[in-house]
Amino acid sequence: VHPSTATIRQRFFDAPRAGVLAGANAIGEAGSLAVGEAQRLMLKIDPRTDTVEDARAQTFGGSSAIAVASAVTELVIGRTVERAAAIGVREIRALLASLPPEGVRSSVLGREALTAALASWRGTPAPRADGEGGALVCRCRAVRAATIERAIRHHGLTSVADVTRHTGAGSRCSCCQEAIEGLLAGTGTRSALPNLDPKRPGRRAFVHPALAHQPPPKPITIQLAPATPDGVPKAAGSAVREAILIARLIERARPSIRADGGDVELVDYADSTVFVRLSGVCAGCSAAPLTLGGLRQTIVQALGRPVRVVPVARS
Amino acid sequence: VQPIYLDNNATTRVAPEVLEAMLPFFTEQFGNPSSIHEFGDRAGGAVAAARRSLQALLGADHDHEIVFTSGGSESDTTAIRAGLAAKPDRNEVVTSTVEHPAVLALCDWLERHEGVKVRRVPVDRHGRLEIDAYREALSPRTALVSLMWANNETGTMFPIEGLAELAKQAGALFHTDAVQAVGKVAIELAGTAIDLLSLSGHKLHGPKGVGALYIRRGTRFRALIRGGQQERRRRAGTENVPGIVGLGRAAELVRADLVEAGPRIRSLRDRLERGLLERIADAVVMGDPLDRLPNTTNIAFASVESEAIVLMLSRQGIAASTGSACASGSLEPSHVMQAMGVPPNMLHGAVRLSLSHETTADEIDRVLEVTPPIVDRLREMSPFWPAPAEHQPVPAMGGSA
Repeated sequence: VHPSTATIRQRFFDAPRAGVLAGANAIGEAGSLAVGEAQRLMLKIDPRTDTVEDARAQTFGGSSAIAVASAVTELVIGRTVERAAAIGVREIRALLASLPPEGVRSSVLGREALTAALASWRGTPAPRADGEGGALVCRCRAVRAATIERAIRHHGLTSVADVTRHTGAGSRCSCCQEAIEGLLAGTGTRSALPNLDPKRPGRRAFVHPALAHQPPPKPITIQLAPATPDGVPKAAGSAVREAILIARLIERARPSIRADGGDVELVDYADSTVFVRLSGVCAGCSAAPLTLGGLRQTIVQALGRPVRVVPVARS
Repeated sequence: VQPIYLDNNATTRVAPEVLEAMLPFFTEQFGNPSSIHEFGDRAGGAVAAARRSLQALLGADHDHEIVFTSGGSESDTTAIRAGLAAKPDRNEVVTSTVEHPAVLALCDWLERHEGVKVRRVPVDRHGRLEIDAYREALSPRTALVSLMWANNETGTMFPIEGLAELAKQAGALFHTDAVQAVGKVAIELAGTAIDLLSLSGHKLHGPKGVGALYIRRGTRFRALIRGGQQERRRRAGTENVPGIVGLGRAAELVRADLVEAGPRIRSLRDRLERGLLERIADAVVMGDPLDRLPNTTNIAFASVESEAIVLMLSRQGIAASTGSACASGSLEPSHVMQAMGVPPNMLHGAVRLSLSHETTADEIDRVLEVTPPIVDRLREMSPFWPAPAEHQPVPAMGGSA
């Protein structure tokens, strides 16, 4: 085993400070399921001293990702917010001796999660990820904001589908479609998809159910462009209306699922995440992810924006 | 703790009998089969005997239908290039989206640099070939069809004999990459429409660096490696005598053991698979539930990443593999899983466990004991895993629990 691999593996196995931090007051995320790696960094910052008292991270990914998350938590504890913001990719890598090629992305994601967490603490939109080309909008296809903006202006694009066709952004998962809409709006062309929640443009943070009872952290928005110019704030009940719509869609899907001997029910809907419970033959069925995938598509089509459909543990 | 090896689709242990058969050919019997003296004769005789063992294992009509190569990748390359050369008036290759990289990368190259049209037939979510799409892909322009007998990642088996018949009707040659199938399922080539078949020694408890290509008698052929009269001018280069002897011995052993070991391995695999599904929520078996290699299971765990699982298993002395051993270390999810349309939360969490006749029930029980806590631990770390039941949010609306 290469010595650097040994350092990473040790950190991966020990995984210090992995998990949920109770009482976190700054949370930042980077990555996604579709790219195969994601990090959520949770910080507890003392408001009097502006110092990071504790840090934990949740990671979806391989050994490099988990090692990076632990390194970031180690580096950040005890620093003031200002000094924490100075932590760079190089410092993270230094702590890990060095990273294999596939681990370099992990260090970038770790840095992005830190930036997002500090931005959520300050209550400011996260700064653009890294200089040239603007923020990384589509993580699956590695398309940056500048590329998309250029394509929109050059070709007079008006819809997310157009942008996907021209740049490849959003062709894999739909995580960045909202961000693309934002760019479409920002460059003066109208988005084809209605933005149902103009108060929260840009990327949406998925709030872990375990954190749901705490005061929600300030929304983490990597703001790529101003909200839709015609974004008149809708009546306060838009989330409720969405939930009712989702409940109806699920009720409509149930007969066919029941016909196969299974069942699905809505448990909760929060922060663009639909929690459902599968029962009957659906529970543990190898086709369940497909059922959920179909359900998700139906809901996404009806709402006109991405949502996640997550099965909850069987009671 | 005694290590548990469940990565037999990657490679297998050389059987003690195989090693024993090979050793003299490094020491006393070191001759070159092309030499006309006693040393050469002995080596040549051993190669001939190995050829007959392979013939028996494959149920081939003639022993000279077997050509020894350096392994599966060379056999695949030789077969596909020979097939194209044999049909100079046709320039299309039909293959699938889930083939081994040895086939896919060659097809990509042929398409990009040599003007060959490649048709890649998709699979369904169980990894089964879309038969209608396959029929449509075949035409009078098809020179060669290359389809794997069994998939290395999921173990899904294609109905190869039937697919070969369809190719024959279209006037095309038929090659199958049977590297994962040979030694795990019974194969009888005589009477089928299969023209070319690749196999590899180290997947059946033989040595690495040796394999074979079956070429049906009468099939037009063009050698990949030229320069000598070895293998009837079909593969130049001094024979890897110890390797070939080892492959021959491995073929004998596996043929004798197939009937007895097959069902035993299958029942252990089923026990492993059922056990994992019972103990771990949101786990899904990848591949065809009905037509699958008896030794392979590929299970995807939602919301976790497979490299992390494999490393943690490894620390507990259990050798498994991420969905694809070939793709491990890279960030891209396996092309097989992508072709099967596996949903994103499962795509990165597939772990392949592949058994052999050496696998014991105790080993399976240990895996069943060790794996659930590993997945639990990684899920606790994962931002995508829903919290335990007591943390579930209160239902927002009606519906019986």
